[in-house]
Amino acid sequence: MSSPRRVWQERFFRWLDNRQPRANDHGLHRKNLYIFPSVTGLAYLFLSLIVWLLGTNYQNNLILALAYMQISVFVLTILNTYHNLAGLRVQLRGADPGFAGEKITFHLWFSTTNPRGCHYVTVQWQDEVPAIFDFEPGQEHREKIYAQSRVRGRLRPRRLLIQSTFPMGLLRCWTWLRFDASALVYPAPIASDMPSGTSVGEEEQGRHAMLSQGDEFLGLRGYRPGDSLKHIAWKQYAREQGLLSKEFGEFTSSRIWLQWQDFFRGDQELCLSQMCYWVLRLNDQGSTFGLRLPDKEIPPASGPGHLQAVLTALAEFGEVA
Amino acid sequence: MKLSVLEKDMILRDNLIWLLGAQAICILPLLISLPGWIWLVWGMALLWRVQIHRGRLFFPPPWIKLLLGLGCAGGIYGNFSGFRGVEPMVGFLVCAFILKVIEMRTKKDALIVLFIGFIAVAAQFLFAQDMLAGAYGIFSLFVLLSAWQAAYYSRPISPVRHFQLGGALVLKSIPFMVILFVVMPRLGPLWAVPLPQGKGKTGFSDSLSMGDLGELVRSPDVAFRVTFEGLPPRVRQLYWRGLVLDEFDGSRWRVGARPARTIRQPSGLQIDPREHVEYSVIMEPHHYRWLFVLDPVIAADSAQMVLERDDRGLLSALRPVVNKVEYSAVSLRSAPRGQEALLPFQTRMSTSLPEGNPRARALAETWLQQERDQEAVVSRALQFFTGDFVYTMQPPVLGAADAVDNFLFDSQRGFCEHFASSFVFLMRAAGIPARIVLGYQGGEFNTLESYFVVRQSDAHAWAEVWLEGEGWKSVDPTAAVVPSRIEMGVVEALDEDERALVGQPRWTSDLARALQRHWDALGYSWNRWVLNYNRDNQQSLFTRLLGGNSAWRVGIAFVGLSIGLFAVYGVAQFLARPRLRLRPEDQWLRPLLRRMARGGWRRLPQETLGQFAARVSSSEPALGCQLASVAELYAAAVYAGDSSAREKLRELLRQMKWNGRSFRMVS
Repeated sequence: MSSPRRVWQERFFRWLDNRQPRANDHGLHRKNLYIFPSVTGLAYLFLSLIVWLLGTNYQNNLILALAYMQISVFVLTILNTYHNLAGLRVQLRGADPGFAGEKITFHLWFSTTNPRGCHYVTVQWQDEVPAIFDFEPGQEHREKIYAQSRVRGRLRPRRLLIQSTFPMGLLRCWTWLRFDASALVYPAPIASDMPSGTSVGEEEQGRHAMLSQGDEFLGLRGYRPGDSLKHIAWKQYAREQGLLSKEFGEFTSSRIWLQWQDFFRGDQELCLSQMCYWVLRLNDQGSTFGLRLPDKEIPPASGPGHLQAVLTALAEFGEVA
Repeated sequence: MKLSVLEKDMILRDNLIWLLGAQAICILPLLISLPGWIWLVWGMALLWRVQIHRGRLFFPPPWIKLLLGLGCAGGIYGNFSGFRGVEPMVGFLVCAFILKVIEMRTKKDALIVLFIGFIAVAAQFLFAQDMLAGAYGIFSLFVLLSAWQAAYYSRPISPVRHFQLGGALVLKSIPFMVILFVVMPRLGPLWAVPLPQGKGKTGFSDSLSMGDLGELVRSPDVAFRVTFEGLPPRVRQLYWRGLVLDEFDGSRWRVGARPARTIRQPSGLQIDPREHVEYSVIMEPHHYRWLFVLDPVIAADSAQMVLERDDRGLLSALRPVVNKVEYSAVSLRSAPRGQEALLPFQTRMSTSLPEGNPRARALAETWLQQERDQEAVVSRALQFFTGDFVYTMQPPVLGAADAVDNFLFDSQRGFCEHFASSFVFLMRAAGIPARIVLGYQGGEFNTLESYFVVRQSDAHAWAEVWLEGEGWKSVDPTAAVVPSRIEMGVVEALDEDERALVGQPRWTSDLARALQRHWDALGYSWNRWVLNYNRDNQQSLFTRLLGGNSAWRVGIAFVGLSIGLFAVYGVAQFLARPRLRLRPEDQWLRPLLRRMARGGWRRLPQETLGQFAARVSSSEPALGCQLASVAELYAAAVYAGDSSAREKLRELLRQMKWNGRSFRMVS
C-alpha cells in the first residue's frame, strides 16, 4: 500500500469519526455520501475535451454541441449516481462466530426507499473482498458480508464501505459506515496428542480417557480443517453425502477435563488452538468434558450450548473485560 | 442478487448485442464515405465476435490482431495514397472501432468501444451538418448511452427499459447542453487541421470551356442562400460574381494569378440603405476558395473564415470552403464611375488572344472601323447577338480549332458560356479589355424566412469590359439573346422540351412544393441559429438578453440558469416519487394506532397486530382483548381475503372511540 494514500485515508477517517457515531443502523443521505469522478469519469471528461478541441478547430458547432452534451450527461450522472445510493438503509443484525483464519459472517440487512432500487452496490468491510448487490425497493435484503479473521479473540471490522458507480461508471459515490460490530473468533484448531495423565476426571478415577490414534473405527463425522486426508471418507464423498472424516481411536471415558496446565508448552495461542482441537473432537464423540483455564472453569457437560460456552471461553481467554 | 467480482466484469449477451448495434449506428454514415473493403472487415469482425460469444472461436492472438491492424493501415494508405487528411483519419478511427470489438472481453473494453463511439459521432458531423445529421447524431448518442447504461445492470433488462434509460438521459441532458452551447465562450481554431475532402468539388471549376455550364445547370443542388438587410435588389440585378477568367488559350478560359490581400470589415462604415446593400450568405461547401458577392463589394466579414479580396473585386476564403460557412458583405447599389486607368500589363493581359478564329477577328475589325468609340462597339456586338442565336442547353459540340468562329457563324446555338466567351473574344479582337465572369445569376425567394436560394442551375457566365472613364462594366450577352433568362430565370428562357433538363426540384403537387419550401426554410434557420452561432452572434445575443456582454453578467446568467434547471429536475423528481400505498385496511387502522400511541401503547415495527395485542393484554387485558378482536378481523380480511370480515372490521373500527385509556363502543 502506498503510504501517502494511507496517511491521507487515516486523516479522512479521523475527520469522519468525529462526524459519525458508531451505530448499527445507518441511512445513506447527502450528509454521509461522498461523490467524485472515477478513473473512467476522468477519462470521459478528457474525451469531451478532445471532442471540444475537434469542434473548436473545425469551427463545427455540432461537434461543440456534442462536447457540451457529454458534459451535460456527466452532470446529470452526478445526480443519478447519488440518487442510486441515497435512501439505502443498512442495519447490522449480528455476526456468526468462526475460527481464526476463517471468513467471519456479518449479517447486514439492506432496504431502500428509492423507488428505482439501488443497483450495482459494492459492499465490503475495510480492506476486505467486496461483494456486489442489487437492492429492490420495498423489501428487506438479508445479506452476509464477510471479513477475514486472523487471530483469536474478537473481530471488530473498522468500517463498512458501500460504494457504487451506477449507472455509468463515471462517478464513484461512496460512504464509510462505522458499526458497533464484533464477532467471536475461536482459536484455529491444531491437531495434537492428548497430553498424558491429565484427562482423568476426578470422580472417574481409573478409567482412561485416552483418545488418540487408535485403530478402532468409531464412526463418521463432518470434515474439519486439519483432518488428515487419509481419514476422509471418499466413498461417502463420491455418493455426494458431503465431506466426512472417518474417526479412529479407542473408546474411552466420556468424562474428561481439558486443563490449561496440561497443554501449555510456553506458547499461549498454540495451547489454546490445541485445546480447541480437542474440544471439537470430544464434542463430536459426544463426550462429556470440562474446561479449566487459569481464569475460568467450566464444569463437564456436553451438547451444543456447552460447546459454545467452552469455545467462547477459549476465544475470550485473556481478554480484558 | 449477488455477483462475484469476476462476474461483474463480464459482458452479457444483451449488452453485446446493444454494443454492436450502437457501433453499427455510429459508423454507418461514416462507412458510406469510406472504401468498400471496410464493410467486409466490419462483417468479418461481427461474425468473429458472435462466434466467440457462442464459443466457436477464440479471442484473436496478438499476431492476428497485429496483422489485421497492419492490413487495415495498408488498405487506408492504398486508398487515400497517404495518411494525411480527414478521410484516412476517419478510416483509422472506424477500423480501430471495428477491430476493438473482436478483442472486447470485459466491461473496460466495452467502455473503450463506447468512447470511440463518441468520437465516431463527432466524425459524422465533419461530413454533414444539416438538420438530419443533427437528428441522426442525437439518435446515435441515444443508442450509445442506452447501451452504456445497460452494461451497468447486473442482469438483463428489457429493450423498453433500455430505451427509457437512454431516452431519459438524452432528454434531460439537452437543456443543459443548450445552456452550455449558448453561454460557453467561442474560440477560434487553436491549430490548423486537415479538412475533409468530401464527396468532391461542386459548382464550376476555375477554368471554363464551352459546354461546361450546360452540364452544371442540370444539378438542383443549392449553391448558397442569401438574406438581405433591408430591401433586396431586383432579381435581374443579382449577379453573384465568383471568378474572373482572363486568360484564353484558344479553347479554355482560365484565372490569371493575382496577388490578394486580407480584408476585414472596415470599422465605422456607415450603412446607407439607399446606397449600400448589406447581405449575408450561407454557402454550401464547394471545396474551392472563391465566394460570391455582388459587384462592387466594399466590405466583407466572416467569423468562420479569413477572407481575402483582390483588385478584381473578388472575395475568397484563405482556405477551401469545406463546411457550411456564413459571411456577410456590403456592396454598392450602383457602380461608381471614373476609375483609375488600367496598368499596361493589365491592358495587355485583358486584350491578348491566341491565334485562330479569323472570321471573328475580321468582324471585330469592321466594327472598330465603322464605330466611333468603344461603347458603340459593345452595343454593336450585343446587337449582333440579338440575331439568329438560339439559347439551348444542348448545343452542338464545336471543333477545338476556331471554336469561336464555328459558334458565331455556323452553329449559333449555345448556352451562356458560349455567348460570354465569344463576346469577350470579339471585344479583345477589337482592342477592348474584356474578361469573363463566372458566378450565379438570380435566385428563388423563400417568403417564409425571407431569403434567396441560389442553386447550381442558376450558374451563369457573363462578361466585363473596360471602358475609358467608366472602368470595368458588366455586359451580359445572354441577356441580349434571351432577356427572359435574366428576368425569369433559366427555365423560362429555354424551350419546352429542354426545361426538364434544368436541375430544379420537381413537385407533383402544390402541397409537396409548400412542404419543400418549409423544409428549406427550417434548414435555413438551422444554419443561421445553430451552425453559424458564433462569437459575434453570441455577443449580440448577450447584449440583447442581458443588457451587456461583460463576463460577470454572463457568469451570473449561466449559474442562475443552471441552478434553475436542476431545481426544476429536483422538483419534478420529488413530485414523481411513488408514494407508499397502504392497504385500505391499514388506512382504517391508522387513526386507532395513532391514538393508542398517544396513550403510551406504541406498536413496534416488527410486531404483528396479534403480537401487539398480546403484549397489551399482559398489562391491560381489556384493551388487549379489544385489540385482539381487531387483529383477528384484520388477519381474516387481509390474509384470507374474507370480504365479510373486511366489512366487520370497518364497522368495528368506526365504532371504537378512544377515551384516553381504552376504547368504548359507540353504535
